[in-house]
Amino acid sequence: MYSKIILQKDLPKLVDELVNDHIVVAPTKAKNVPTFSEVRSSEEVEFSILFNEKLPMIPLKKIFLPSQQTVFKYSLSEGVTESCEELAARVAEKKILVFGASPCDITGVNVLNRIFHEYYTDALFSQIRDRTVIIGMNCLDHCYENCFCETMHSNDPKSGYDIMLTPISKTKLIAVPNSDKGKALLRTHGEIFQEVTTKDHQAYLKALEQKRLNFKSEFPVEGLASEIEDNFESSVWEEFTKKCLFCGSCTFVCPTCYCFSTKDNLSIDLKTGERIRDWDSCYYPEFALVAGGHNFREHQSQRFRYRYLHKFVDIPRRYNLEGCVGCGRCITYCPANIDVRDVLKMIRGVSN
Amino acid sequence: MTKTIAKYNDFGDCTPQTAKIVDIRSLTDNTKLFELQFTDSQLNERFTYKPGQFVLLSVFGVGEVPISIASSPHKKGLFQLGIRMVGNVTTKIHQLKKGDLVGIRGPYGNGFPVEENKGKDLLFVAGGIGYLPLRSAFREAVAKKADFGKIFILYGDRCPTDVLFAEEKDEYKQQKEIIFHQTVDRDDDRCWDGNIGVVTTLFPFIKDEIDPANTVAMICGPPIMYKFVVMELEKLKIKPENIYLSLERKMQCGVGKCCHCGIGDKFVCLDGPVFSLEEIQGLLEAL
Amino acid sequence: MATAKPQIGIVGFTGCAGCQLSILDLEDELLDLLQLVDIIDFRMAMTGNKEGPYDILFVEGSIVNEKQEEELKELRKKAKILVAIGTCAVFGGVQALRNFMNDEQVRVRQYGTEGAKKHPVIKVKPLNQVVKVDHYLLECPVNKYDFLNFVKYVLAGGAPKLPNIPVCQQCKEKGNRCIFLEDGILCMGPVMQAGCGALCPSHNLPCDGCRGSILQAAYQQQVDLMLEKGASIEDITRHLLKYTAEDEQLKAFLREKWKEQGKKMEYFIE
Repeated sequence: MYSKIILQKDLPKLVDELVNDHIVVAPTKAKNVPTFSEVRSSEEVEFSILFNEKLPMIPLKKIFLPSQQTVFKYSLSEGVTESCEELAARVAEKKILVFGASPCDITGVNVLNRIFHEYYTDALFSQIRDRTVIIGMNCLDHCYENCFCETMHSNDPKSGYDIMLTPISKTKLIAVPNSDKGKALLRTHGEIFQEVTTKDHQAYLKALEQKRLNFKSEFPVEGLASEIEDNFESSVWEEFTKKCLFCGSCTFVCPTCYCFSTKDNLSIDLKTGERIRDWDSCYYPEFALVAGGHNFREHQSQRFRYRYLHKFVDIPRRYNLEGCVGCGRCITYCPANIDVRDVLKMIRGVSN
Repeated sequence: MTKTIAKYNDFGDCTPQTAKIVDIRSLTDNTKLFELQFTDSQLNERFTYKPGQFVLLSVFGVGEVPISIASSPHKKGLFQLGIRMVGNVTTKIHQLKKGDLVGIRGPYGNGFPVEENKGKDLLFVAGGIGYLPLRSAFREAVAKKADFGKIFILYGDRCPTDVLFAEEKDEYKQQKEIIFHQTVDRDDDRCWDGNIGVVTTLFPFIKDEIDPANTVAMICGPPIMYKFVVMELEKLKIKPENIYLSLERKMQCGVGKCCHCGIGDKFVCLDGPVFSLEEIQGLLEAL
Repeated sequence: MATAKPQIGIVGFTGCAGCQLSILDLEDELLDLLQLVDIIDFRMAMTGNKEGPYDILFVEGSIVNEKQEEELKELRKKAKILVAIGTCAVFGGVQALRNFMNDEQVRVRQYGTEGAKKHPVIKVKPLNQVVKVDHYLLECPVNKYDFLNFVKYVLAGGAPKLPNIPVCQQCKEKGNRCIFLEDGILCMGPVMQAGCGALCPSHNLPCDGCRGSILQAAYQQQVDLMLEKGASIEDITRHLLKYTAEDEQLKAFLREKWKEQGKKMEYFIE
């Protein structure tokens, strides 16, 4: 059997072994807010977050699509001096290991992975993703009141992780590998793990059954896309526009928001420079503004609506994926208390 | 007609290729035609494109903008970009000189279906700087005149000083297969002897000559123009699947990642910039 | 690039001189900067200053009396490019709150009844109410990297662009805890121009909006939310105008808001 058992009290030991040959990214409370950050020892890891206290504020996307990233470097006299592919290879040299990703976050990365591979593979995203090992921490119940992952079918990703840890009792977890890398990792750190007994296996099956019973869907997503489209002119968009601050917080904490813009950074000698890409948000007024002065989404309500269209209509249609993973971060971190579920319900209400 | 997104060549996904400005020609006070050549000579051979496709032009130190290719595809070894000074990057490139380096990614997008419509009458409607990509398309048709029926060109500009390639007018007027009409929105200095009014005021000149069943229309111009031109084309009874529009949107990546050019489930950079009216009729926010 | 180095001046009117200090604080880059430009006028930092002509003149501070108005007009004549640096020069700064106080009372408080007669004051003006300003560099004090980038871009032939993103983006990029949401502290981040790297919120302090508001700022929503959180319109106004009293867009909005509440905004500060 490839799967192994690990005692909960041994998790810190595992992390301390992993930091020796990986850059380990794990949930911490670095700035008084749950966050994924690089850890050098298990002492920095906030294990309570792992056991479903709260999701890290910024999802895993920040590893593969950092808020600011150099795309290539150039000199004015020679043109491009370091390509995106070369930079990507250098960044990917670091062996990153994510410890304790939730299933919905893994699904979120899978969505981005698909988008960043469509037609043109994004070298930076794909190389970092390909070289990153992800150890997931399974959820057996809604982690908090804003979670609606079951609705968005995101809590049981079939791929996109190397090992999934599932608690099977108060003291034990089962580590189920999902890739060759995962299997190798369990072998390398074999001393920390134990073999799975028949009793453990039964407990595992029971835990999965409990998971199935615990998660409840809040509303059907079937038909959502066409209903939103039918209510394109609904007054509900205007109503929420009156509350929304257009601060973009929801887009930055969203696991599937990936918009970026680019800019140039010239060095002080004015001879060399680099192209940078930066997170951007479709809530900002210049998002669809072209140089000639025409703004394709001039009004706040158009911008408010666009995000919903993109998540619940455009991504599903284009990629055959849910564009939202139901993690509820946009609800948790909205200063104006806007709940995506309320918006969707009200939009649907209008059509009835 | 179903369109497939073709990867026209295998370079320039995220990193531009270095190209040299080999010639600069002033077209108007604010528009210049730049002739470019890759510094890697092998690339010049491999760089093929369709009219209506675009590149992402990097002006190092300032930024990157999408620019339609203005030259005819059969011209090998170099290509042209017609650039009007409107933003930061386009202003800076106007200051560059022969021999300066820029970055090029692409070509991207699908382009105008000229080849695909052999045997048809072609109607080109251009507004302002939109004349440049369309010119690339109709010059291709003009070069293979025998393959096509009549070629209608309607071209509108804001004012006489904005008119591009004014000298080519006579060339078109001499050829009986080409029906060329031109207009300017206003003529403050009284130096224009042609039609005055927006581009739609040219439709009365051609309406009796259009065979709607056999005409394919291609449009490129400022965003405001499309709705009105489409209304005229519908009056002429040209079918939506035979009306092609090159849409403008903000672009940062050109390869369907940055999301700035999204219209519904389409990206202008990947699925466009040329769409048939039929394709976008159901797309919210398209026109 | 031009062969002669551009001649640069850095001068100040009414302010704290913090912007000029901020430029001096560019320790790592100052020598490189001097390779690119000639600083001919920087009274705070050097001797042997020359009063123009300037290729680029950076002006700190706001204009508070007629003498300064004349001086600024003279300087404008000597400068090819005039750049307002810092909140005072761009929006009036903290001292522009005086514009919302009774003029007479202010003078009496400051100079006494007799003295008040001798010291006429005018409305505190940002530079663009007196002369044409070509560019604006924000923050209190001016962001030294914005200054450096501006010089680079002018020399390279581009024009720097405001990021036009709210402070919230940079807060999220830094992974800061949201004090507006979690602690109910009035923070202007959602409507204020970023570029500072969310400096104040990164230190658990609310954004006071020293960089001015973003394009199409959601003032209405922001103010409604603050009222909901229990703040008074007086508090909110003081907060919003603290640095940027002469931000026309913001002032016009607030006047309307006061009217809605049946109050008049003039001289609301005692």
